[in-house]
Parts: sequence; C-alpha cells; structure tokens
Amino acid sequence: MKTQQYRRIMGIVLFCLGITMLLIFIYFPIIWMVTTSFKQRAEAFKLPPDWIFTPTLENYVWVLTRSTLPRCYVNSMIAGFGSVLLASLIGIPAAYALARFEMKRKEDIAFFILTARMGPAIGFMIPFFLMWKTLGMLDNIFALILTYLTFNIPITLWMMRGFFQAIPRDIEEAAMVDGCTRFQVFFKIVLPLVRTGMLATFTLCLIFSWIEFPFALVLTYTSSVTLPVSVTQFITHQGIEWGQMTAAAVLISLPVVIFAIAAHKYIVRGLTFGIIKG
Amino acid sequence: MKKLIRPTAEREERKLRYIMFMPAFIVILSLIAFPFSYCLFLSFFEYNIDMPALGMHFSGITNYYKMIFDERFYNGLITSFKLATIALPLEILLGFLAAILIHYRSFKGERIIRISLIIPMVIPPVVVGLVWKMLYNPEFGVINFYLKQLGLNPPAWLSHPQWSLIAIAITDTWQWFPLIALILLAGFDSIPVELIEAAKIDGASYFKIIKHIFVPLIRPLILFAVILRLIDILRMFDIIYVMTGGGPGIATETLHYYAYKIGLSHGGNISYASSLAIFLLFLIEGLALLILKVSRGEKA
Repeated sequence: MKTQQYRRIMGIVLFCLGITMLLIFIYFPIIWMVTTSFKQRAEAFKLPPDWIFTPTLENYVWVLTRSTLPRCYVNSMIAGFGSVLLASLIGIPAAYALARFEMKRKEDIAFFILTARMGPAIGFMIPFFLMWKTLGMLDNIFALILTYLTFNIPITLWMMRGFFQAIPRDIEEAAMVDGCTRFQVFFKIVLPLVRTGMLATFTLCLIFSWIEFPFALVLTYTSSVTLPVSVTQFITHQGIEWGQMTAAAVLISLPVVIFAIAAHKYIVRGLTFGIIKG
Repeated sequence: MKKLIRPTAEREERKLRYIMFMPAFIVILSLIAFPFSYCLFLSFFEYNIDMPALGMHFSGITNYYKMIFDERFYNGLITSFKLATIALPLEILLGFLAAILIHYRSFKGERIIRISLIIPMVIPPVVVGLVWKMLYNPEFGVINFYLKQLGLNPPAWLSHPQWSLIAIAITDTWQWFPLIALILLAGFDSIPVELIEAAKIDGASYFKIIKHIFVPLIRPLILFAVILRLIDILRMFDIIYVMTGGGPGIATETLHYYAYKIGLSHGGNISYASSLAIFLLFLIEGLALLILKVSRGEKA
C-alpha cells in the first residue's frame, strides 16, 4: 500500500513538473518578446535581464508614428478580409457541391485542390511574379488578394466540405419533400446549420492570410507591403533594432493570437485540412 | 428517396450543381492549375529575368539535366532532409510527451494549456524567426548567457555551419510540436475511458497503458503527423529567410530556399528555379498522396 501511495505522489510531482516545464518552453520566447518591446534600448541588451523594470512605450510610439507599420496594418487587413470574403463566396457553395452532389472523380478534384495548399511556395511565387508583372499588377493589393485565394480556397473547400458532410441528409431530403427547392434548402436550412463552421473557416483563413510571408515578399514593394514583410525592415545593416522590432512583432501577433483563441476548437482541423477533427 | 423528387427538380439540381461549383472551378483553373502549368512550361525554357534581352529559348530538359550536376541542388536536398531528421524526432518526442502529460489526469487548467499550445502555431513565422534570432544572438542573446552561466561553451548558433541548422530545427520545433501534441490528444480523447479503466483495474501502470493501449491505437495518427510535418519542413521558407538567409555559406540552404535564391533573389535564373520547384512539387505530391492514404485507412 505504501509503495502505491508513494507512486501516486511521485506521479503528481512529475506531472506538475512536466506541466511547468511545458509552459516555460512555450511562453519563454513570447514573454521575452513582450518584455523587450517595453524596454529601453540599453535595457534590451542587458544581461542578466531585468525581469522587473519600468516599462516604456517608446518603442510602440516609434513604430506607430515613424515606421510604415500603420500603413501595412491597413494593407494586411484589406488583403486578409478581401481574400477571405472572396474565398467564402466562391468556396462555400463549391464545398457544398463537393459534399452533396454526384460528380465524376469528386475525390480526385478535392485532392488536387488540396495539393495547392501543400505545394512549395516557390512553385507559385515564380508564376505569380511573372503573371502580375506582365499585367502590371506587381505591388498591387488586389493582385495579393487574388494570390491568397490559392490557399484560402483549398482551406475553405476542405473545411466546409467536412461541415456539410456532417449534416444528416435526411434533414435536407425532408425539406425537399415538403416542397423546398435545393436552392432554398441550401440557404434556409443548410447554411444556418453550419454557421459556426463558417465562422471558424473565416477566422482560420484570416489567420493564414495575416501571417503569409513568401507571396507578399515577392509581390509587393512599397505601397501594398503587408505586416510580415514590414517586420523584416527592422533587420538593418547595423543589426536588428530589438526594441522596435519586438514592439512591431507584438502588434502583428496580437490580432492573430486573439482570433486563434476565439477559434481554438477548429485550429487543428484547419491545420490538418479537416482530416483531424481535434 | 430520389423518386420523390420531381423530374423538374432533378433538372434544377443539375443546373444548381454547375452554378455552385463553376466559380470555384474557374478560380482553381486560373489561380492553381494555370500557375502550376506555367511553372512546368518555364522549366523547359532558358529564361533569366535579370537579363531580359536574352529572351526566352526552348531548351528541352536541359534544366533537369543541369540538376544532376548541380552541387547546390544536392546540398539543398540534403539540407532539407537533415533539417527534417533533426526537427521531426524532436517534435514527435515533445509532442508525444506533452500529449501524455495533458491527458494524464483532468485538472483545472487543462483548457488553458490546450489553448496555450495553439499560440506558437499562429504567431507569424517571420516573427518567430526574429524572436529566436534575438535569443540565439551570441553576444546579447539570453540562451548563450544562461549556457555560459552553466559553465558550457555555447556555439555562435546562427553563424556556425552545423549549429545553425540545429538552431533552425529547434525554432521549428517550438512552433510546431504543439500541432503534434494536439493531433495525438485528439487521438487519446477518442480512446474509450472504459478501456483505460479496465486496464487500471487489472493493475497496469500508466506506462504500460501508454505502451499497450495508446501507442498502437494512435500509430496511424503519428504517421499522419510525421508526413504532414515533413511536407511543411520541405516547404519551410519564412524562418530560414529571417534567421540565416541560407547561411552561413549554404549551410542552411534547403532546396526550397535555393530555388528562391537562384530564381528570385540572386541570379534571376527563373527557368532553372522553376525546374527545382517542379521537382519539389512532385516530391511533396508523393508525400501528400501518402498522407491521404493514411488518413483514409484510418477512417476505414
């Protein structure tokens, strides 16, 4: 009996230790980022670090007034919302079609769409760079919106297809027997049922557009630069401006972290293309 | 059931099917199929964007032939897989440990910890790279400071030919081990509680339960996670861009990054970069097919 009790206590101690270590590992870089952003230049480089210090908003003020960050914020919002709206408009009906209607080689079509999300970015960076260059649309936010559809459409299709498939067919058929057309069924019965799913998909696509880097790097230069590209401007020849960089980093990460927490039930599903229901 | 639907409804349904799928079909054709084909097309040509005067010439399979003798191509391929062999075991191990730990007992803060796992994954990779670059800094970085305090002689991480790759792998691990943990947790949660209870009554220790119940049941999930992460490591870009830019030398230049460098940032040899992209695409496509098979097998 004694050994069993000993074992139980050991188990709890190990458990608490493990959880603490896990939390430290996850949060250390994040805390470091946040604290550095509130430090003055000299303090930021100080070792051993001061864990308690008088915070300053200097870096935030600099970033918000003297860098291009506010403008990039607007760009990122336009690119994100624009692309996600378009992707929903086009992708949701298509996802329903893929889930419900009989189509030849349905699975192959779905797989082909998915590979666009999995393929290497360079395979799209090159053709898109040349395409937009030919059309004179480099550094154009609308071009970026369209380019982001290459990953937003696959995510929307795969996520929404899963949500549609989860609705029992009987509901739709009953409505049709009662005299609804397919069209009415889709709008009046199916869509309200997948409201949460739509919201989750929307949020996920927004997150993916917000953190997207390679396309924005190649397709934008000045007027339509997005946030992830703008943060690299803090890498100068003299080194990295840590205080300003971390302040920008916090401002960029905050919206996505909030969105992710709001949609936390669906993040894993989104990252595994709806395969793992998490 | 079908007979109940009137013939006009059937015609209407066929029409609706086209209306609903057409826009997506057009977008997929123009924004996914066309760029892909264009890339493939380019790979059979000789074209340098930095020297537009030379024009574009058909060159057959020269670009692919060139790959065979290109040392940097092999270096890229090896670097990509080296990165995967360092990062994947770390991610699986940490993810597995985190998953067992969280599943071990239900506790008050469980939801908070599960949500915490999501945070690294959604922070922009560029930001993750920059923050870790700061931590790795040999002079002012906190990692080396503490390692020195422990009496160790830490490497200069990102400017060291071998350690730079490990540093990137650790950064990638920080960002993505939560995904593995959450995938495995989804698997653990689906294991019936009765099964675990029964084993406990029979006197099995927690380690035995893990070994004989958890691991066999989630094996397909582990395989799924491994392939998914392997694909993502092969296409890694952001972190390498901000942390090392492929350096020192070409020590952290993965195949993906090499293609970017030679095609778009230095050199402008966009046709050769296209052939590298196509090579990488087929490599990933093969892995993607595998992942689909695994996930289907799991459902069946």
